[in-house]
Amino acid sequence: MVQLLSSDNETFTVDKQVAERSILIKNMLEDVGESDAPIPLPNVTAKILKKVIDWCEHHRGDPVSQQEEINDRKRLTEIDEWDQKFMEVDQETLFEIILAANYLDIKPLLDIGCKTVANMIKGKSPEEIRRTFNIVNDFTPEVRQFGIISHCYFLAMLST
Amino acid sequence: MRSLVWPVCRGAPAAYCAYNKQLMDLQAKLDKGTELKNTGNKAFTSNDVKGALTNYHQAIFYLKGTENIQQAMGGVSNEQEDPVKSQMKQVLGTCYSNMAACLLKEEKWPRVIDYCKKALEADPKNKKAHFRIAQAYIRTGKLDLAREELQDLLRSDPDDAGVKRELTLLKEKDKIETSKEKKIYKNMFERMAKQPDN
Amino acid sequence: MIFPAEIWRLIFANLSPHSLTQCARASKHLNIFATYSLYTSPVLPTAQQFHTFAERLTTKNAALIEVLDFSNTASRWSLVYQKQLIEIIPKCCSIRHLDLDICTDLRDDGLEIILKTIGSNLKFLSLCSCNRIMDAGINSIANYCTNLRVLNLSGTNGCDDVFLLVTARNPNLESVNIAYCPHITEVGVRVEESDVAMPGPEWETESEDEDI
Repeated sequence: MVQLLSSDNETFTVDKQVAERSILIKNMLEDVGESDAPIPLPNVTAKILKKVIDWCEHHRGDPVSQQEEINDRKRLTEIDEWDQKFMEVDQETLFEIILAANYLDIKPLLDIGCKTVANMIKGKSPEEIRRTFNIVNDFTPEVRQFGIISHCYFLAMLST
Repeated sequence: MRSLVWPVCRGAPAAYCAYNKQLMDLQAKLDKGTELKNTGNKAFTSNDVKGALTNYHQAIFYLKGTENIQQAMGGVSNEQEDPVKSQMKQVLGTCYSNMAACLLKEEKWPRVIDYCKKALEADPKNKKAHFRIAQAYIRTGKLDLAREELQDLLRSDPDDAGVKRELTLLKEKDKIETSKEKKIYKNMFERMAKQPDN
Repeated sequence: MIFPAEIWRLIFANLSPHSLTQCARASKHLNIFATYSLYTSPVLPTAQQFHTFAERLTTKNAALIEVLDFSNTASRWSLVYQKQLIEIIPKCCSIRHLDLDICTDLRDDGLEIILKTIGSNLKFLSLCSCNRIMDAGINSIANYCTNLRVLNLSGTNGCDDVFLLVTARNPNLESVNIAYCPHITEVGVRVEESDVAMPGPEWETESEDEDI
């Protein structure tokens, strides 16, 4: 068993197999071995750590995939039912789960989080995207008036 | 209760206060991470490899991920303008590089390569990381990669004894590989010569 | 914005070019990340679109391209010209996946120019059915593509047993496709199948004579 300590001082006890879904923790346990002292995770709050542990418990038996170096461009944005329900949380929690998955190096959870956000973007206009993510339109009025050519590869002129 | 994410608010003052609070937390983490790294260094010099690794791993827990928040809050922030962020990256790089040194002692070559790559992401000019990755490459048969690293190092430090020693080892390994291949070529061409022409 | 760059890239990898265009119009910040994702693996459905892409491609954006895949580009056998390939591909300093499937206008001299600049970055190279690639082109691959994992030469004309021997030295090479290569014989196939680094008993000889 392994003990994990959140940034707000709550301790969670989990199976080693579950904790090792996080490559960050797995590497530490491999290098240093197990100990009684809890592992401090100063960048994850208890609320989010609990969610992450729940996900890892549910997926404990999943095979750990090899690192893919060549991108699979035809990525599916289908997420299984359990994971979909898992991600039905308020936006702030969703974003915190993504950041925690990135920090703890849990690639499958990070992928699902990113797919969820991608699904929030699909089919939306720029204004709708701004409203969803609370973003300010900081293009100058000249650029806004000029209008933006739909062919994606001519956007180069906006980024220079 | 610290929250990891500060959603962008329309009201500037609220966002500014949140950003400042974030900065203070980051400074505290940088300090803690540096302290753990120094403890790790002391353990390493007294040959306590496990102790050193424990401290380095813990330092990484503090330093990793936080540089992302800094970047996220500042938008497209320039590292040169942000001393806290660049310091965190530097200490993180040192931790990875030192962990590679620990694992070299334990002869865990693939892990050495992993950690050296992370160290070099943080600081591409880290000579010790280049040297350690070369050593691991030689011992895992990646001789071409090792040669590249060692030759670069030799260019900047032509008198480095360690680099010269590894180059000698590399040459020996090369010789073994070449003699194996020569045997194969020889057999290969003999067999091709015996094949009837089509 | 709330996420660091690498997470935006992971999110955008799931979006179509159209959705990315919408993101790019939302704000300057998202524009930078969306543009990056648009150029990492550009979608080129027709040769005509490729022509426009090639004309407008800046050096700065070319440096973002990691995957260039023509295998789904309609009419590429008659309309994707060597001249354009030579113009664009050498500027793609981050490219690691290059699929020139049935780009039959490509010849040895063009391939040499391309691989000289970017060959060492490539992990995947396909020249399937590029029937004007001969010995010299195959030599370029052997000389410059030292980090290949996957190589598809089916339908090319320059590949022979000696080339297979050279490629077998590359410890990273996981897959070689030599279907329909007229100069490959059984000898070459056996070399490819055997583990060159550790010769088996059939390769050992009595004498320790080092010189061939």
